[in-house]
Amino acid sequence: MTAFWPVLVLKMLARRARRAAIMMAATAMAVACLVVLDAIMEGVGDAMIRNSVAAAGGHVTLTPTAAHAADETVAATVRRWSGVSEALPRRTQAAMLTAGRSSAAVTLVGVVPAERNWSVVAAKIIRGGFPRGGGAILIGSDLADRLGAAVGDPVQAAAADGTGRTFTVCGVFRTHLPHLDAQLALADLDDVAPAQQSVNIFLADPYAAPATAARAAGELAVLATQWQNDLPELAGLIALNRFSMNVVLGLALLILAFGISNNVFQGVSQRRRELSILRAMGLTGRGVMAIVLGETMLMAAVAAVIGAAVGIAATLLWARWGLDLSPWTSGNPHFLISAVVYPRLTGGGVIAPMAVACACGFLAALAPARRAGRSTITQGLRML
Amino acid sequence: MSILELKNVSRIFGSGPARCPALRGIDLSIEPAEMLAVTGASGSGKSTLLNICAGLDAPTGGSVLLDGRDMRGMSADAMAHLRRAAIGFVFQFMNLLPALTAWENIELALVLSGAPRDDRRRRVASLLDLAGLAEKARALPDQLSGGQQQRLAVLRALAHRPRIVFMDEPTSCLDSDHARDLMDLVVNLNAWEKTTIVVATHDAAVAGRMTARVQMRDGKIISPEVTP
Repeated sequence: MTAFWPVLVLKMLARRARRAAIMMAATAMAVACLVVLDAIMEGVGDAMIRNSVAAAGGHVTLTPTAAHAADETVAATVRRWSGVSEALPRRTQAAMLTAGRSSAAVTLVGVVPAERNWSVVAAKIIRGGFPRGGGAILIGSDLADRLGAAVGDPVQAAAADGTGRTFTVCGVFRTHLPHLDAQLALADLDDVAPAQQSVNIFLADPYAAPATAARAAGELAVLATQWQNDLPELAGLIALNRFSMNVVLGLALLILAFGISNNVFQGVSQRRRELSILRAMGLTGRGVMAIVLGETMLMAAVAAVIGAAVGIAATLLWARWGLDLSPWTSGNPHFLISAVVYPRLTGGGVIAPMAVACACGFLAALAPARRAGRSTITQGLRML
Repeated sequence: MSILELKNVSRIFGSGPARCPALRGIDLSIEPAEMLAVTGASGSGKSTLLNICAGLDAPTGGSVLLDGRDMRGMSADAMAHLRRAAIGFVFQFMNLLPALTAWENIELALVLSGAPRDDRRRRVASLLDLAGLAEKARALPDQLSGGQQQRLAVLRALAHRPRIVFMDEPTSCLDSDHARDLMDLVVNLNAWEKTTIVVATHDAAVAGRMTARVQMRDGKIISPEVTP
């Protein structure tokens, strides 16, 4: 193909600069909105996962199966894996806590100090602090009320195997989740017997959990579960959220395609004489179609790139401050620690709107282009 | 052998009560390098005849043979290829492409005919020089006078060295001086390039520059006249 045709297309576009600019602006705006909306959707999902796994047990939970696979050894191994932000060993024990004449059945969890950076409990301490060994214990507010225990008070812990020890309440947390506030107690890892060990893994990319779980199951003597299995309602909610957003995106693209088609139809009608001259000079109907499609695709492609750039810039700016959803998330267990959503760009979230905008441009221009290629030359030439 | 031959060509627009016969049983033969004037009043069918001869419109009946090839039944693509290779057309209202410069308007015809880039450059430069438009090569059509635009339209029609060029009222928008200049250009190009020229006109001065004339009335040729 000679370079003449792209020049011709560009010059024809330049002659209708205002119309072209309007169409490109509309397309660019749609692409930018779609990029930002997709990033928000990802951000909401991330926030829900972040909050939920903090209340549960990380993105992946490993349970060592072999006696030699001690929790801290496994955690140290996994921590070196790419994509792993943290691997926290835990020891869990069913126990009876007693203070004075009151007692309650609890889940006593032994944790390492780094847990305070990841656990929902650490973020919800209302009195005292996080346990740092030496028999310190952090308990839920409902449990504290039931035991009548305050920070500094001693409590007796009796395990199911008959062993027991005395802890000192170092802090009280309140998550507003009844099962945590009434039944959970945290102590230092070394203060809890290694009856039931686990390693809780936090990942940079929560959606890498299945791959990480599979790797752990393959390379280590562990049972591995990912958050999608441990929190099926959360996985379902995110899938529903994504579906709803895709419906909205589809409708937005439909409107965009209609707008492009209308614009191209008008452009072709106004340039019927111009296109008829080309046909009179020997350009085939397919050639005319190619010009109309080429123009539209060029506009759509440039607009898509501009729109994606604007969308990326807006998302990155927004992600610096985050989007606080707390007025709409009170009492929502999926936003327990923080309701601030940080929009997150994904390759698909940027490329898909660009590709779909180009596809919309192509499909929307197809009918006007066919019409231009099939119109009668002599009628077109008579148009002034 | 005739370059163009029309046999019993008719063209009817509309149907039923709106039926309007524009051409009625036209027989015409045009020889290579001939300059033919088609004269007649407005509505006599001159433009319709030229459109059909140039393959821009299809006849309702009869046949049109260009270099012995019957254009009837040719596909749209085949007609397009024929137009780009063998036919040139000068429209009444110039019909230059407003987005392209004078140079590019001429080059377009050469691009369509598949001429190599260097040949295109040489041809466009020589044609613009010939028509005294070399300094206007980069000008857009709306930056040219009516006479310059019409000369440009003639250059574009002749650029790809077609076998035959049709001109529909080429001087209708020009004053007599510019009309004379244009016809000088046409006659010179015919002499140099041996291109067959068919001009539809109601201007007796233009018709007088041609070597042959046919007069039309009500869609029929009523008086052929040939100047040796």
